[in-house]
This record gives sequence, C-alpha cells and structure tokens, in this order.
Amino acid sequence: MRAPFRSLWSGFGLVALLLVSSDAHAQPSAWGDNGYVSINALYGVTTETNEVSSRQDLYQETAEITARQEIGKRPVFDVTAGGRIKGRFGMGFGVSYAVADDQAAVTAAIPNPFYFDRPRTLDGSTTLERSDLMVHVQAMWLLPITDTVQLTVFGGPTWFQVKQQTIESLVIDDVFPFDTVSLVSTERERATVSAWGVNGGFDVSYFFSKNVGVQGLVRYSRGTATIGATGVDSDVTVGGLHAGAGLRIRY
Amino acid sequence: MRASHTGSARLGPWVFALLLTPLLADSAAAQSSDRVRRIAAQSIGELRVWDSAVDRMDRDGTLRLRQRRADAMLESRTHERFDQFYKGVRVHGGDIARQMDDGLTTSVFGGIYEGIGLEDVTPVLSSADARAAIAGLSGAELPDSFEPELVILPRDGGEFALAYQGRAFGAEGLYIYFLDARTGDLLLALDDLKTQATVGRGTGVLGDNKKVSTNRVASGYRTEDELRPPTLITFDMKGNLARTVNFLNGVVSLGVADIAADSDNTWSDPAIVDAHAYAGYVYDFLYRRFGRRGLDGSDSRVLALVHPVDRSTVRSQSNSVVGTFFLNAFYAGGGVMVFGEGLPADVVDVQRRNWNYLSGALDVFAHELGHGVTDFTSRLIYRNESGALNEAFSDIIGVAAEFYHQPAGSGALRADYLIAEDVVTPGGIRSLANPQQFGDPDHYTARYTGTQDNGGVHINATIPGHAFYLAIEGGTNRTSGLSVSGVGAANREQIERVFYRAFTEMMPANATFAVARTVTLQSAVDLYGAGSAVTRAVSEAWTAVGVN
Ligand SMILES: [Zn+2]
Repeated sequence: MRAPFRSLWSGFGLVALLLVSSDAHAQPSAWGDNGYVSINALYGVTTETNEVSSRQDLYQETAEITARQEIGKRPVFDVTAGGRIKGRFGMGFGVSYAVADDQAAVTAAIPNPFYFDRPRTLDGSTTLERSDLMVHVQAMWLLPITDTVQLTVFGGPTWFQVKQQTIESLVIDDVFPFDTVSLVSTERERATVSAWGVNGGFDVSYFFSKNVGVQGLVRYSRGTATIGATGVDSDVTVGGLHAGAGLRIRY
Repeated sequence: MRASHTGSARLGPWVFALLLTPLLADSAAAQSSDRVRRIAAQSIGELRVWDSAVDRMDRDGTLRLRQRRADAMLESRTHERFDQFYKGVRVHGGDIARQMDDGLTTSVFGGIYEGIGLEDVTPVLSSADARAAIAGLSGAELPDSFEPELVILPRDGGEFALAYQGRAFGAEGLYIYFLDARTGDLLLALDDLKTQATVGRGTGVLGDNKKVSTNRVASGYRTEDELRPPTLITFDMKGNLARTVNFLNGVVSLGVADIAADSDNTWSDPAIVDAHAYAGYVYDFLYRRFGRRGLDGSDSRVLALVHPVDRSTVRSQSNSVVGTFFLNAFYAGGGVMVFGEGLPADVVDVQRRNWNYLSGALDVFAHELGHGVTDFTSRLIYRNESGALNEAFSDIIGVAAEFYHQPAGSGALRADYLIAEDVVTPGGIRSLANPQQFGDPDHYTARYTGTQDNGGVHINATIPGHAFYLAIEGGTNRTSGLSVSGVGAANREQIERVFYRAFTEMMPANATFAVARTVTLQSAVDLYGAGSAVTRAVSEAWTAVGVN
C-alpha cells in the first residue's frame, strides 16, 4: 500500500501548483450559496492484507488461527457535503461505506490430540464479511479552473468504524492417525471497532447548469484498527484509495 | 532381574502363571464366547445347512422372526432377523440375520448360544418388583407402563441367568440394567449413552504432564480411548486384589464402574495417567514404526489394570502377592495387562531399590504389550531358549518404544537400554547394553541352564537383547572380546525392523537362539540385502554373543 500513497501525494504537489497558478480566476460562488453536496459511487482500487488471529482451545492446548484477507477492491458509497468558510477555504464532511464478503485464507496450528507441542498445519478458506464506515472531516481548498470546471483539494482526519467477521472456532476433520487435518467449516463472530486516521484527496467537478454538476473524486484514507477475536488483538490497516464519480449539487 | 527381596520379581507373567494358571485354564474353557455358535454362511453348502436349520429352529420356537424388511438398495432382496429364544424367553444377544433373493437364501449370519442349561425359566420376581429395583438402582422415577423384559442373559463366566432387562435414565446416565429374576441382584449394567471422545491431561508417575485420550459420559470422564482405532481402556482396581484375581480368573467381569474416572478430565492419579497414556503411545509406536495395528494387527483391545493392590498393605502380603502385584507387571492374555503397585516410599527391596508404580515406565508398558504381540504371532514357548526369546522380544519392543518416544539419555523419561529404570530406582532391572551390570549373561557360554524362571526366560533374555544392542550401537562384547560394527543410533530403525519382522513373521514357536540368529539374518537379507551393513551388523552381533 505504499506506492499509491506516494503517488497520491505527488499528485497533491501538482494540484498545489495548479492552484497557485489559477489563483486569479477564483470565484467564491463556486462553493454554492450555502454549500454543496455530492453523492459518489467510488471503488476501492488498492488492497490491504488483513490478518486477524484467533485462538481455540483444543486437545488441552490452543489452536492458533489466522484468517488472511485481501481487503479493498470493492464498491464504496460516498456522500460528501461542504461549504465555504472564507475565500477558497471551506470545510466538509464525507461519509463513505463499503461492505463485502471476501474469501479469507485460513491457516492454523492444530494441536495433536495425543502429544503436547506437536501441532499440525491446517490450510483452508472461508468467507468473512467486512464493512467499513468512514467519516471524513475535510479542510478544503477550492479552485475554479474555468467557469464550469473546478478543483477541490482536501484533507483531514477520518473516523473509521470497522465491522469484521472473525473466526471463533474451526470445525475440523481430524481422525487417526491425526497426521493431517482439514477444515470443514468455521464458526464466526463479528467484531466492531473504531479508530481515527487521516484522509486526503481531490475532486474535479463540471457544472452543466447553475446548481447541478458531475464530479470525479479521489480520496485516500488510512488508519489502524485493533480487532479483537477470541481474546487476541490484531492490528489491521483500514481505509485505502477510493476513486470514482458522482453528482454534485450546489445550493 | 534375579534378586529382589521376594526373589520372584520379574517383568513377566511367569509368577502369575504359577499362581493362577490352573484357574485361568478352567475359566478360559468356560468363557461364554465359547458358548456362542457363530454362523457366517455364504457358500452353497453352508447355506443349505443353515437355511434349513433356521427354518427348523423357527418352527420349534428356538428362533422367532423379529423383522422382515425389503433391501433398500437391491430390489429383489429381503432381510429377516430372528431372535433366539429358550423355553419361550428371549436370549439376550442371540440372533440370526438371513438374506433372501427372490425367496432363495443368499447369506446367513448370526450367533446362537448353546448349552443353556436353565431348567426353570419362571421368575421369582414379578415385573413390578423388577421395575421397582431398576428405579432404585437408577434413581429414576419409572411409570407403571415401564415393563422390564424377561431374558436369558449370557454371563462372562459362561453360565446363563434368567434376568429382567430394563433401560432407565438416572443420575449416572442411561443404562440398561439386568437383574437376576430370582434374587433381584444386579447382574450387569450397560452404559447405553453414546459417549464423546475427549482429550484430558494429567501428571504421570514421574511428574510429567501428558495428554490422555478419554471419553465423556454423563457423570464425568473415563479412561476409554475413543480416538485410536482399538479399544484401549484403563481400569482402576482400587487396590482390590480379590476383584483383580477374580477378573483374571473369569469369575467376574469388569464393568463401567471399574474404569478409571475423573470429574474434570484433569487426572491426578499418576499410575492411571501413565497406564492410559502409554497404552496409546505403544499403539502409536507399533503403528508408525512397523505399520502394525495393535496386538493382533487388527486393533484388538488393550485393557490395562492399575492399582491391583493397596500399596500400604505390602508388609502383610505373601511373597507371591508382592512379587506379582507389587513388584511386577504382566500380560495376562487377551489384551489384559496388570501393572504392579510398587512399594511405599519407606520400603525398599533387598538391593535397596525403590519401586514406583510399574505403569510409570514406558518400556515396561511396551514390554508387556510385546508379549501380546508375541501371543498373536510367533507364540514363542515360554520356557528355556524360546522363552528367553519371548522375553527378549518384549525387551526389544520396550527399548525401541522408549527411543521412539523419548530423547536418548540417562535419567527419568530418557531413552536407554535399561529396562524399568524409570520406576525401579536406581538402575532398573535389566540392561541390554551391559547385562552383567545386573548379573545377567551377555554371552551364550554364560547362559543359565537351570530350571528356575522357566529355564531362565528372563535371565537369558539378555543374550539376544545384547545382540540387538550391539547390532545398533556396535562395540565389543565383554565376554568374547569380539567387536561389532553397529548400524549406528541414527539407523536404529533398521535393526528394529529386522528383529520385529523376524520375530513376528518368521520365528517358530520353539525357536532356539541359533534359530533366532538364522531368522533375523534372513529378515535382514530380505529387507536390506545380503551385503548390507545391516546384515553384517546382525551377523556380527550374534557371533559376538556366542550364538552361531
Ligand atoms: Zn516379560
């Protein structure tokens, strides 16, 4: 996930240059009389490897379980509203929501029923649902480029609420001589956690009437959430690079 | 091991054999299993005989049709089940299943009890009496509609009893009770609740933590291994010598109440923990090392009896009881093993050795199970040289199981060539590395030729046992001065496989040491080739111990 991060911020540099050079054309009305609201269909274009560990008491020992998912490539629904504070500077709030069932690769160290410290490796897969609610607080800098096209650059803190299905226990096929073990199914539970992170990005909007336009939006957000499963805490990276388009209404 | 304070301490069945053989022989003949006529008719000739026999028994009332069902998978087939009756009373467990194809019999399987000599099948107890008795036993409230069935119950001793059978769920779980229909005595209580395999833990005799494969029943946990293929059960005889002896003589059968039990699956009785764990360890060793499934190769049962006596009573026991049930472990046939209780901490034998619970030594456990394997394979006659080979094979299995499960070294829970060193301290009772350490022979010329110990079966066992050691580790025989190039500890499996295969597949029952040499060499040649280092090591080892 570091490459998109870097490219995003180098993009920011370009935008900043643009802003400076276009300064003379700034139109305060570009914010709308009271503000604007946009509804956006975004898509997660980057993925994060999400590893959530859990434990299960088994055969007088503990089975160590890891569920590994690639989280990110999925639709993101977004509503953002903002308004001018002074000049080109404004303030906005964005709410994004994404939910998906993702395949998780399950690996586990399953104790031997007869002997201590002789775990066997289990590999399997299961589906774990994950939803992310992101509330972005954005400081915005709006720059009209032409009469109908404008660019907004923004950044600020993000509050994440993550609902992650985790593995509570494994149902396994395990018979004599207990050399190998296979996964039959998983018993799952859901963890709900929240965390603070940051966001930054830009949008380019085109207005085809006084109040209604379309826009393209790119937003990167990032945070670290701690997901607890069966008493084990796992840190997972939340957010990602979301890009898409939507309707923008000034009022 | 020749000298303990009783003079009779041996890791072997011989003391037991002296004590109980006549009783055992009688009871074996009377085993109820011998009273069952087992029927498995599939050939045309057998079918003709049994088909008409079934029809005849059906007519004369010996069999009664219980059910007739169409085959769910083969359209033209039907299956009939008949229960055995005796003077109008159903015989518990006696039945026949007949398969018909368009009215033509295609198979007959079953088991019919013979020799039921009950003159009178009129119960003394009424059905209501039996109901009240079962209610009392189970603690369950039973409705008036509960009607115990009058049956003929085949007993383990070979007799038959007129009994009431009733199934009741009480505080102890779901049981089928069999009451004597004359006296009201409880004859048998069968646990009818499906049990669940569990894994418990406990501390062994040497203080080590290990897992035990148990099962869960309504009242707690029991030492019944349900994770491995065979029946592996550990019985807690609770120091009841009379009951132990009666069981070994077939006078009583052990029931669920005799199985070691624990309320929370964390087991605190070290003798039970080790007996139950080691039954599994040895099964695993035989399976993984040699591909053998249990004693008979077909997952036959293993019943381990611990606490056959009360340790604290040792001072008041006879020498033979001390020698058999305190300072010994023995294989009693049929998968039954008894593990001695050892001595109280303040009592030592004449060599000033302490004796812990015999089940606490993996090599002792494996040694006894080795006798079980011999019973199902070579049946080496238990006297003179063949008897010493019988003992030697058990020592070899004991040592090999130790090296399989424990790291090599000296001291507790370490693999070595000593026998019973973990529970007879210091030192153990025999050494395959240096037999002379215990006064045992390491060379054929030093063999014992007297009549004690069945002609020295334990004493002379160290001659082939030492050959086994030399073939692995190499070295020089102390008596002959001949050196052996062993295969090395890293290759011990090769020598184990050679001896195991020779003893279980090719050894005749009356083998001498010289025959054993030939057979093990044949085994080595078969497995590794005539010119192999293994074959040379086996050959040199026998030569070094004076067996040519
Ligand atoms: Zn023995």
